[in-house]
Amino acid sequence: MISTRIRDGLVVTAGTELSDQALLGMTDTALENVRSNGVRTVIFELSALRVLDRAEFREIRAIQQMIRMLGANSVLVGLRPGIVMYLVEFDEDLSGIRAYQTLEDALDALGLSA
Amino acid sequence: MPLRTPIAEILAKFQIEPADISRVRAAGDVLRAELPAHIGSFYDWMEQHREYKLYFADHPTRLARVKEMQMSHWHTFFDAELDERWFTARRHVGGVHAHIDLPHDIYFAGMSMSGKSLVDRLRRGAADIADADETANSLIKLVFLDTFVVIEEISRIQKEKIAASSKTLLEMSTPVTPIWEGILLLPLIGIIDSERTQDVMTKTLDRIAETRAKVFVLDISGVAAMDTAVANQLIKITKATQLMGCETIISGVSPAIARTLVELGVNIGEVRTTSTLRDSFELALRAVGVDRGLLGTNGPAKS
Repeated sequence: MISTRIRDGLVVTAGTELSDQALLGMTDTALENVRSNGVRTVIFELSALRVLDRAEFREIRAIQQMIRMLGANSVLVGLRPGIVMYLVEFDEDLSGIRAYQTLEDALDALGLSA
Repeated sequence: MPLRTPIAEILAKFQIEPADISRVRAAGDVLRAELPAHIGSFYDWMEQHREYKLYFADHPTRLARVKEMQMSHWHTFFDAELDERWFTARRHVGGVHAHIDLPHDIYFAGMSMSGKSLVDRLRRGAADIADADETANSLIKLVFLDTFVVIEEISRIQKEKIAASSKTLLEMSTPVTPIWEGILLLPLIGIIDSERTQDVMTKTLDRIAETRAKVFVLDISGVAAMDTAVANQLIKITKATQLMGCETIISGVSPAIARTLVELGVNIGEVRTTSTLRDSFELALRAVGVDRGLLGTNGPAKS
């Protein structure tokens, strides 16, 4: 897991799969940066992710909620068609999710690009 | 290709026993000499049918070749070695006939004619054969088996052709097309079932990933019937595109469809819908940031 600061945004990049440890790391990094470093938007960059099961997806949703409670926003970037089809097929709750295909799209849409 | 029935099982089904095979071989000793005459009468018979004109009128060399093949066919028939090679040879015959789209009736009629012709010849030479009646029965069994294998291959090939063309049709029925920088359009036409919605989902998401589209316009004005299941599938598609960072706008919602959806209690959520493709296209253009000025002033009501 890598995180990169861009203005008041934070890009959290996931690897090819999410271990429990990676999820914990993502949670800590995101929340800590929102609390202490003035991050307003957390961007979860998931384009390297090959598989994502429902439990892992709900973990991400939970992190998004925590970020929300600290008064910041979060978006998802780069979900693959296969993962998307799987989540939709199993009727996961997808309400209120903001998502983008590429990091560039996300940065543009969030006003974080130069 | 599905597994074929084992040869022993087929022979048992056709009640072909070793005795039948040896009788046919014995008959062959007498009938081989008659084959040229038999084939001659076969083509005399064939000449009365329009298929003869269709396949042979302009191809004199083809006729000679086919006669030769038929000769070798009957020779292997009287060899009666009903092994894998025999079946393969018959399937090859089926393949050839499927290729020229030979109708079943003329093939069956031809085999019936051949069976009768051979049995008649057998009876005429009955003096040289131990039990002519039994032999005739054995001969007919083998003719039926022969015909069955050929026809089965013909129908297998026909089924294959149909399956291939329906796949092409499915392929053609989901033309997810980029119509503007960042805009994809899919006009859905005809009857929507679960297989098609799955296909729509897959194609759409793949195209979004490929083209990085921001807006997907799904035009349903050509959809024949809408029910709860189809509506829910369409809503799933809109949710899926959302996760790919692409907004779906559904256009072509007719008053009848709107009424049905509301009466069915389908919750379309936050999906944007319009009645005309024109309105959807304008929403899409605005979503990808095309200047309002370019769009003219007589557009639909502002949203």
